[in-house]
Amino acid sequence: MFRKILVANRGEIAVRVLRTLREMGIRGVAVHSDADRAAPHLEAADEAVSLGDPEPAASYLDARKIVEAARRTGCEAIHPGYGFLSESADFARAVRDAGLTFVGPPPEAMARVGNKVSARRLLQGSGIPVVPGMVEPAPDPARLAAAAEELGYPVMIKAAAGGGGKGMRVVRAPAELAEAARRGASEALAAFGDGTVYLEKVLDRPRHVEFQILGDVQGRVLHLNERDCSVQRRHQKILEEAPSPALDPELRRRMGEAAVEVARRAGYVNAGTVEFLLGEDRRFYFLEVNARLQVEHPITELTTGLDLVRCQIEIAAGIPLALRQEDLAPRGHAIECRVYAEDPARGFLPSPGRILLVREPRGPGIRCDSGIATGCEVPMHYDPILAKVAVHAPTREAAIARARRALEDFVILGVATPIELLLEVLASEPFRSGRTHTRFLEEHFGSWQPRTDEALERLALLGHLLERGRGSLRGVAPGRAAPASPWSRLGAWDVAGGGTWKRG
Amino acid sequence: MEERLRVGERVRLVAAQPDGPERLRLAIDGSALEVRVVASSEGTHLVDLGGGQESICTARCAEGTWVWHRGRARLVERAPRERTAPEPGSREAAPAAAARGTGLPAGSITPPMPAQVVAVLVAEGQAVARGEPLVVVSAMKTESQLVSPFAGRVRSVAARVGARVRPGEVLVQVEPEGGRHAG
Repeated sequence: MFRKILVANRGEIAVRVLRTLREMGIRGVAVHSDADRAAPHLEAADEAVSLGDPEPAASYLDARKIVEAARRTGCEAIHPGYGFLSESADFARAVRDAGLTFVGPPPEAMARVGNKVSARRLLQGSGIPVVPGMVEPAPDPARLAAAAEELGYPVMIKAAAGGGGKGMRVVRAPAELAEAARRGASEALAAFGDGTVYLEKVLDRPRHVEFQILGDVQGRVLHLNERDCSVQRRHQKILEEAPSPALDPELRRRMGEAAVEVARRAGYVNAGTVEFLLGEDRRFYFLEVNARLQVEHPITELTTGLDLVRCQIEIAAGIPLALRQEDLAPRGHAIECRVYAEDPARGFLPSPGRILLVREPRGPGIRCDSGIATGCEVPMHYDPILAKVAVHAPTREAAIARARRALEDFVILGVATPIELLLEVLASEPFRSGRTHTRFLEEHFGSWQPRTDEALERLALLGHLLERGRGSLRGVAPGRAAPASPWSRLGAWDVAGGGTWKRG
Repeated sequence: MEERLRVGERVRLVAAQPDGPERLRLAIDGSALEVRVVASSEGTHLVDLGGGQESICTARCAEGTWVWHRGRARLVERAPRERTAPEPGSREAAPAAAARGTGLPAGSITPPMPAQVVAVLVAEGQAVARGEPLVVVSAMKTESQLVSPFAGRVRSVAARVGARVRPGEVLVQVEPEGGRHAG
C-alpha cells in the first residue's frame, strides 16, 4: 500500500481525500497556489507544497509543477480530485512516466472515454442508444451550423474536453450559434485547456441519471447504482439524490448493465461515472463518461456505506474488488445540496469575498464536506464551490426534511449562496413529488428572487443593532450569554468603559 | 437616536431603547415593538419579538451587518444613499448594483466583482440599445456580459482585453439618449 500520496487539488475535495488518506495511515501532501496560502485544505495535510501563481494554468493545472512537487516530497501516487487535471490523459501519462501512480483510470482508457466525441464512437454496435449529436467536433462555424440544421434546433454547444457546465450553451436559433460557439470555446479553453466544442440535440425534459462504476486491475467492473442530478441551472448540478425517484429495480438493472458495458469497452479501471439522459418514456440514452471521482459522490457513499476514495486508492494499489454486485443495492435515500459562492438573485453571479462567519450543520445523517472556515477568502480564480451538504435518511420524505433542517442550520455570512433558493426547491410540490428533470429549475424557479419578508427584515435590523452594540443598548443585560460562549459562566455582566467588566 | 438603515429594497428609520432588563423597545419607521433579548454574544443572539425565541447570527462588514436566520441572509446597510435601482435580477441589475454606492453616474459600466476583461464589444461614439452587451468579463471561470442600462451612445471605452478589473473601475461610459439622465 502507498505510504505517501499528493492531492493535486484544493477546497472541499482536497480536504475530503486527505481525510481518507489519514484514516488509511497514508501521509497526505497538499499543494496550494499563492491565493490559497491560508486555505483550510492545508490543515488536513501532513505537508504542503507551494505552487506559486494563483492562476490555475500556472498552479493547479501545471502538470510539471505538480509532478515535481510529488517527487520532491517522496510521494508514490497522485490523487487528482475532480476538475483541474483529473481528466487529462496527458497528466495521467506524465505521472506514470515519472514512475508514480495516478489514482484514476489509465491514460488510454481516459482518452477513450474522456473526450465526449470519442466516447460516443466507442458505443457504436453496442446496442446502447446515444444522444443524437455530432460524431466529430468542429471549430469551423460553417460545419457547426450545418450540423445544427441537421439535428434540428434547439441544440447544445458542449466542450469535448470536460463538463461541469463549462463551455455549455443551449442555442435556440441559427442566429445565436456563432456567438454561443465562440463563448463556449473560450470558457472550455479556460477550464480544461482545450477549446474544442461539438453539438448535441437537446431532448425535452429528460432526467440526468448517472451510474457510479468501479473497475479493478483484473478487469472486473461493478456499478454502485445511480444518482439523479436533474436539478441543474446552466447545466451545472445544484442538487442530487440517490436513488432516483424515476428508477425501479428493473430499470436500475438495465441501466446499470449498460454502464458496466461502457466501462468494459473502454478498458476502464478505477472510479468513473457513466451519464445517461432518461426520458419520460423510460428510454435512456448514453451521454458521456466522467473519468474521475465526481462532486456528488457522497450520496453514493451514504447509500452504499462505501468510501469511494478508499476504493480508488485500493484499486490503484492493485487490490482486486472484493464487492459483489448483488450486495450493492441502495439503502435509504440521500440528497446533496451544493453550496456555491454564487448569488441566485443576480443571475448566479459568482460572489468571491471573505467568509465572515460559517457554522456547519450537524446531527445524525448529515454530512457536510466543506473547504471553508470563518475568516477565509474565497478567491476569484477558481470554481466557487464552498461546501456540499449531504443527508441520508430511511425514506425520500425523511431525507427532504433532513436536508431542509441542515440547510436552515448552515450559517454562511460574507458571500452570497443559493441556500435560500435550495430551501424553496426542497419545499416545493414538484420536488416533493419527485417530478424533476433538467429544466426543473428553469420552469419553477426561473426568475427567482428572495422573498420580501417583513418579519425577517425586522430580525435583521435588530441583529444589526445588537451586533453594533449601540451605546443606548449597554443597559440591556443579556441575561445569559448565547450557548457555546465563553461568557456563559460569568452570569449577568456589563462592559463598562475602558474594557473592564463588572458583575451587573 | 435614529439611524437610516437599508434592508431589502427599503430604507427605514430605526431606533432602539433599553426598556428594562433583557428588554428593548425597537422602533422601525415610527412603529414600536417590544423585544426580549434572551442572550447576546459576538455573532449570535437569541431574541424574542413576541412569536417565540429566534436564533440569529451576525457578522460585520464595511457596509453594515450581515444577519442570518434559518438559512436566509440579509444585509443591513448603514447610511445608504438614495438612488434609483433597476429591477432586481434584471440584466442591468448586476453592474448597476455595483455602480450604486460608489457615487458613479448612471451609465458607468463597472464589473460587479473582480474579473478579467475577455471582450470589448463596442467603440467610442457607437449608439447602443438598452440591454445591449458592451463588455464581456470572466471570473471564476464563468463569463458574464455587462450590458447598457439604457439606450444611448458610448462616450468612452477604457476596458482592454486581458485587463484585471475591479468594481468601481469604469470600463465603458454610456451617455443616455438626449444627454439627460434616464433609468
